[in-house]
Amino acid sequence: MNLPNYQTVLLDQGDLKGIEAQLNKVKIEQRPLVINILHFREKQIEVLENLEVYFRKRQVNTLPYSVWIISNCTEYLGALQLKTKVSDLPHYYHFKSRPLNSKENSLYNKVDLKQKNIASIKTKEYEEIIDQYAKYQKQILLDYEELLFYKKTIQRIDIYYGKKRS
Amino acid sequence: MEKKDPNQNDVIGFKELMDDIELPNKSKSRQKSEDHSYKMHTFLEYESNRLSKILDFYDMKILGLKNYPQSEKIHFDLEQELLVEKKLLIQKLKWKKSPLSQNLQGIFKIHF
Repeated sequence: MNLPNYQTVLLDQGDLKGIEAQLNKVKIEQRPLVINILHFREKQIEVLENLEVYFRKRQVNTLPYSVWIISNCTEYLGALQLKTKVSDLPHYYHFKSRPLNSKENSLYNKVDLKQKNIASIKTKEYEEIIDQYAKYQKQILLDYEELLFYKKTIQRIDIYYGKKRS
Repeated sequence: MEKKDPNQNDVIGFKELMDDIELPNKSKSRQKSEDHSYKMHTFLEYESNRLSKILDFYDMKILGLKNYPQSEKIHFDLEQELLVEKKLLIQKLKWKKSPLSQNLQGIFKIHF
Protein backbone atom coordinates (compact mmCIF):
# COMPACT_ATOMS: atom_id res chain seq x y z
CA MET A 1 0.00 0.00 0.00
CA ASN A 2 1.34 3.38 -1.03
CA LEU A 3 -0.39 6.23 0.76
CA PRO A 4 0.21 9.45 -1.19
CA ASN A 5 2.58 11.17 1.21
CA TYR A 6 5.99 12.52 0.20
CA GLN A 7 8.61 10.05 -0.96
CA THR A 8 12.04 11.62 -0.61
CA VAL A 9 14.98 10.66 -2.79
CA LEU A 10 18.51 11.73 -1.90
CA LEU A 11 20.33 11.72 -5.21
CA ASP A 12 23.56 9.70 -5.12
CA GLN A 13 25.01 10.87 -8.42
CA GLY A 14 24.42 14.08 -10.34
CA ASP A 15 25.15 12.83 -13.85
CA LEU A 16 22.38 11.72 -16.21
CA LYS A 17 23.20 8.02 -15.99
CA GLY A 18 23.20 8.07 -12.19
CA ILE A 19 19.92 9.98 -12.14
CA GLU A 20 18.35 7.51 -14.58
CA ALA A 21 19.54 4.51 -12.54
CA GLN A 22 18.09 5.92 -9.35
CA LEU A 23 14.85 7.54 -10.53
CA ASN A 24 13.74 4.80 -12.96
CA LYS A 25 12.86 2.67 -9.92
CA VAL A 26 10.64 5.35 -8.39
CA LYS A 27 6.88 5.32 -9.04
CA ILE A 28 6.03 8.96 -9.69
CA GLU A 29 2.34 8.32 -10.47
CA GLN A 30 1.44 7.10 -6.98
CA ARG A 31 3.13 9.51 -4.61
CA PRO A 32 4.47 13.08 -4.70
CA LEU A 33 8.22 12.99 -5.20
CA VAL A 34 10.82 15.13 -3.43
CA ILE A 35 14.39 15.03 -4.74
CA ASN A 36 17.02 16.39 -2.41
CA ILE A 37 20.15 17.79 -4.10
CA LEU A 38 21.36 20.15 -1.36
CA HIS A 39 24.50 18.02 -0.79
CA PHE A 40 25.79 18.78 -4.33
CA ARG A 41 26.52 22.38 -3.18
CA GLU A 42 28.15 24.30 -6.12
CA LYS A 43 27.22 21.63 -8.66
CA GLN A 44 23.47 21.98 -8.02
CA ILE A 45 22.83 23.90 -11.25
CA GLU A 46 24.38 21.08 -13.33
CA VAL A 47 22.31 18.48 -11.49
CA LEU A 48 19.16 20.53 -12.07
CA GLU A 49 19.90 20.71 -15.79
CA ASN A 50 20.43 16.93 -15.85
CA LEU A 51 17.17 16.39 -13.98
CA GLU A 52 15.37 18.57 -16.50
CA VAL A 53 16.83 16.53 -19.36
CA TYR A 54 15.83 13.31 -17.58
CA PHE A 55 12.19 14.36 -17.10
CA ARG A 56 11.96 15.59 -20.70
CA LYS A 57 13.50 12.39 -22.01
CA ARG A 58 11.45 9.99 -19.90
CA GLN A 59 8.21 11.90 -20.65
CA VAL A 60 6.77 11.03 -17.27
CA ASN A 61 3.15 11.71 -16.57
CA THR A 62 3.52 13.87 -13.45
CA LEU A 63 -0.22 13.81 -12.89
CA PRO A 64 -1.73 13.59 -10.32
CA TYR A 65 1.36 14.30 -8.18
CA SER A 66 4.12 16.82 -8.64
CA VAL A 67 7.87 16.58 -8.36
CA TRP A 68 9.70 19.01 -6.09
CA ILE A 69 13.43 19.59 -5.84
CA ILE A 70 15.04 20.65 -2.56
CA SER A 71 17.79 23.03 -3.57
CA ASN A 72 19.15 26.43 -2.58
CA CYS A 73 20.33 27.23 -6.10
CA THR A 74 19.24 30.75 -7.04
CA GLU A 75 20.49 30.84 -10.65
CA TYR A 76 18.09 28.18 -11.93
CA LEU A 77 15.18 29.51 -14.02
CA GLY A 78 13.86 26.28 -15.56
CA ALA A 79 10.62 24.35 -15.39
CA LEU A 80 11.33 22.32 -12.24
CA GLN A 81 9.75 23.34 -8.95
CA LEU A 82 12.38 24.30 -6.39
CA LYS A 83 12.01 24.61 -2.63
CA THR A 84 14.79 25.54 -0.25
CA LYS A 85 13.67 23.25 2.60
CA VAL A 86 11.27 20.39 3.22
CA SER A 87 9.02 22.52 5.45
CA ASP A 88 8.28 24.79 2.46
CA LEU A 89 6.51 21.94 0.67
CA PRO A 90 2.69 21.88 0.69
CA HIS A 91 1.45 20.58 4.06
CA TYR A 92 -1.28 18.56 2.41
CA TYR A 93 0.97 15.53 1.90
CA HIS A 94 2.87 15.79 5.19
CA PHE A 95 1.72 12.78 7.22
CA LYS A 96 3.04 9.47 8.46
CA SER A 97 2.02 6.24 6.81
CA ARG A 98 0.20 3.72 9.04
CA PRO A 99 -2.08 0.68 8.64
CA LEU A 100 -5.58 1.72 7.67
CA ASN A 101 -8.87 0.58 9.18
CA SER A 102 -11.60 -0.92 6.98
CA LYS A 103 -13.34 2.41 6.28
CA GLU A 104 -10.08 4.12 5.33
CA ASN A 105 -9.03 1.11 3.32
CA SER A 106 -12.15 1.25 1.14
CA LEU A 107 -11.47 4.96 0.55
CA TYR A 108 -7.84 4.20 -0.27
CA ASN A 109 -8.94 1.60 -2.85
CA LYS A 110 -10.97 4.30 -4.59
CA VAL A 111 -7.95 6.62 -4.58
CA ASP A 112 -5.75 3.84 -5.92
CA LEU A 113 -8.15 3.08 -8.77
CA LYS A 114 -8.35 6.75 -9.75
CA GLN A 115 -4.55 7.04 -9.63
CA LYS A 116 -4.30 4.14 -12.08
CA ASN A 117 -6.91 5.71 -14.38
CA ILE A 118 -5.03 9.01 -14.38
CA ALA A 119 -1.70 7.26 -15.00
CA SER A 120 -3.20 5.61 -18.09
CA ILE A 121 -4.17 9.00 -19.57
CA LYS A 122 -1.71 10.08 -22.21
CA THR A 123 -1.48 13.75 -21.34
CA LYS A 124 0.74 14.48 -24.34
CA GLU A 125 -2.21 13.72 -26.66
CA TYR A 126 -4.33 16.32 -24.91
CA GLU A 127 -1.64 18.99 -24.83
CA GLU A 128 -2.32 20.02 -28.43
CA ILE A 129 -6.05 20.47 -27.74
CA ILE A 130 -5.35 22.52 -24.61
CA ASP A 131 -2.77 24.65 -26.45
CA GLN A 132 -5.14 25.33 -29.33
CA TYR A 133 -7.97 26.17 -26.96
CA ALA A 134 -5.69 28.55 -25.02
CA LYS A 135 -4.54 30.20 -28.28
CA TYR A 136 -8.12 30.84 -29.40
CA GLN A 137 -9.18 32.11 -25.99
CA LYS A 138 -6.28 34.58 -25.98
CA GLN A 139 -7.20 35.79 -29.47
CA ILE A 140 -10.87 36.11 -28.50
CA LEU A 141 -9.89 38.22 -25.48
CA LEU A 142 -7.72 40.54 -27.60
CA ASP A 143 -10.44 40.89 -30.26
CA TYR A 144 -13.07 41.56 -27.64
CA GLU A 145 -10.93 44.29 -26.06
CA GLU A 146 -10.52 45.87 -29.50
CA LEU A 147 -14.28 45.67 -30.08
CA LEU A 148 -14.96 47.36 -26.75
CA PHE A 149 -12.51 50.12 -27.68
CA TYR A 150 -14.34 50.76 -30.99
CA LYS A 151 -17.73 50.73 -29.30
CA LYS A 152 -16.56 53.19 -26.65
CA THR A 153 -14.99 55.47 -29.28
CA ILE A 154 -18.19 55.47 -31.36
CA GLN A 155 -20.21 56.26 -28.22
CA ARG A 156 -17.88 59.18 -27.38
CA ILE A 157 -18.04 60.52 -30.94
CA ASP A 158 -21.84 60.38 -30.82
CA ILE A 159 -21.83 62.28 -27.51
CA TYR A 160 -19.37 64.87 -28.95
CA TYR A 161 -21.42 65.47 -32.10
CA GLY A 162 -24.61 65.57 -30.08
CA LYS A 163 -23.18 68.35 -27.91
CA LYS A 164 -21.86 70.24 -30.93
CA ARG A 165 -25.17 70.15 -32.70
CA SER A 166 -27.14 71.28 -29.65
CA MET B 1 -37.16 -12.90 43.60
CA GLU B 2 -34.85 -10.24 42.28
CA LYS B 3 -34.65 -7.11 44.35
CA LYS B 4 -34.96 -3.83 42.43
CA ASP B 5 -32.45 -1.05 43.00
CA PRO B 6 -34.43 1.92 44.40
CA ASN B 7 -32.03 4.41 42.69
CA GLN B 8 -32.69 2.90 39.27
CA ASN B 9 -36.12 4.53 39.04
CA ASP B 10 -34.54 7.94 39.46
CA VAL B 11 -32.48 7.43 36.31
CA ILE B 12 -35.54 6.71 34.12
CA GLY B 13 -35.87 9.47 31.52
CA PHE B 14 -32.30 10.63 31.97
CA LYS B 15 -30.65 7.53 30.52
CA GLU B 16 -30.82 8.67 26.90
CA LEU B 17 -29.59 12.11 27.85
CA MET B 18 -26.66 10.63 29.76
CA ASP B 19 -25.67 8.48 26.81
CA ASP B 20 -25.27 11.60 24.68
CA ILE B 21 -23.03 13.36 27.14
CA GLU B 22 -19.39 12.48 26.68
CA LEU B 23 -17.65 11.61 29.91
CA PRO B 24 -14.18 13.06 30.41
CA ASN B 25 -12.57 9.70 31.21
CA LYS B 26 -11.21 9.09 27.72
CA SER B 27 -7.46 8.73 27.74
CA LYS B 28 -5.43 11.30 25.86
CA SER B 29 -3.73 8.70 23.65
CA ARG B 30 -7.11 7.35 22.52
CA GLN B 31 -8.31 10.86 21.76
CA LYS B 32 -5.14 11.50 19.77
CA SER B 33 -5.46 8.32 17.73
CA GLU B 34 -9.10 9.16 16.96
CA ASP B 35 -8.06 12.63 15.79
CA HIS B 36 -5.42 11.07 13.61
CA SER B 37 -7.95 8.64 12.19
CA TYR B 38 -10.36 11.46 11.33
CA LYS B 39 -7.50 13.36 9.69
CA MET B 40 -6.56 10.36 7.58
CA HIS B 41 -10.19 9.76 6.62
CA THR B 42 -10.66 13.40 5.66
CA PHE B 43 -7.42 13.41 3.70
CA LEU B 44 -8.42 10.30 1.73
CA GLU B 45 -11.83 11.81 0.98
CA TYR B 46 -10.27 15.07 -0.25
CA GLU B 47 -7.72 13.17 -2.30
CA SER B 48 -10.42 11.03 -3.88
CA ASN B 49 -12.38 14.18 -4.81
CA ARG B 50 -9.28 15.84 -6.19
CA LEU B 51 -8.46 12.87 -8.40
CA SER B 52 -12.09 12.71 -9.58
CA LYS B 53 -11.84 16.33 -10.69
CA ILE B 54 -8.65 15.62 -12.67
CA LEU B 55 -10.33 12.62 -14.31
CA ASP B 56 -13.42 14.70 -15.13
CA PHE B 57 -11.21 17.36 -16.66
CA TYR B 58 -9.58 14.90 -19.03
CA ASP B 59 -12.56 12.60 -19.65
CA MET B 60 -15.33 15.13 -20.00
CA LYS B 61 -14.06 18.66 -20.57
CA ILE B 62 -11.16 18.02 -22.90
CA LEU B 63 -13.03 15.37 -24.86
CA GLY B 64 -15.88 17.88 -25.16
CA LEU B 65 -13.42 20.43 -26.52
CA LYS B 66 -12.05 17.87 -28.96
CA ASN B 67 -15.41 16.66 -30.27
CA TYR B 68 -17.37 19.91 -30.17
CA PRO B 69 -14.93 22.80 -30.61
CA GLN B 70 -16.59 26.21 -30.28
CA SER B 71 -13.64 28.56 -30.10
CA GLU B 72 -13.18 28.81 -33.88
CA LYS B 73 -16.83 29.76 -34.43
CA ILE B 74 -16.80 32.31 -31.58
CA HIS B 75 -13.59 33.82 -32.96
CA PHE B 76 -15.07 34.05 -36.47
CA ASP B 77 -18.26 35.74 -35.21
CA LEU B 78 -16.21 38.20 -33.17
CA GLU B 79 -14.07 39.10 -36.17
CA GLN B 80 -17.18 39.80 -38.24
CA GLU B 81 -18.53 42.06 -35.51
CA LEU B 82 -15.16 43.81 -35.33
CA LEU B 83 -15.27 44.50 -39.07
CA VAL B 84 -18.75 46.04 -38.81
CA GLU B 85 -17.71 48.26 -35.89
CA LYS B 86 -14.55 49.35 -37.71
CA LYS B 87 -16.54 50.37 -40.80
CA LEU B 88 -19.00 52.30 -38.64
CA LEU B 89 -16.17 54.13 -36.88
CA ILE B 90 -14.49 55.06 -40.18
CA GLN B 91 -17.79 56.35 -41.52
CA LYS B 92 -18.23 58.54 -38.46
CA LEU B 93 -14.70 59.93 -38.77
CA LYS B 94 -14.29 60.46 -42.50
CA TRP B 95 -16.91 63.19 -43.29
CA LYS B 96 -15.37 66.45 -44.44
CA LYS B 97 -16.09 68.64 -41.44
CA SER B 98 -15.27 66.08 -38.80
CA PRO B 99 -12.67 67.19 -36.19
CA LEU B 100 -10.32 64.45 -37.39
CA SER B 101 -10.51 65.59 -41.05
CA GLN B 102 -10.01 69.22 -40.00
CA ASN B 103 -7.01 68.35 -37.86
CA LEU B 104 -5.49 66.30 -40.67
CA GLN B 105 -6.10 69.13 -43.14
CA GLY B 106 -4.35 71.52 -40.76
CA ILE B 107 -1.34 69.19 -40.46
CA PHE B 108 -1.08 68.73 -44.23
CA LYS B 109 -1.34 72.50 -44.83
CA ILE B 110 1.46 73.22 -42.37
CA HIS B 111 3.89 70.51 -43.40
CA PHE B 112 3.35 70.02 -47.14
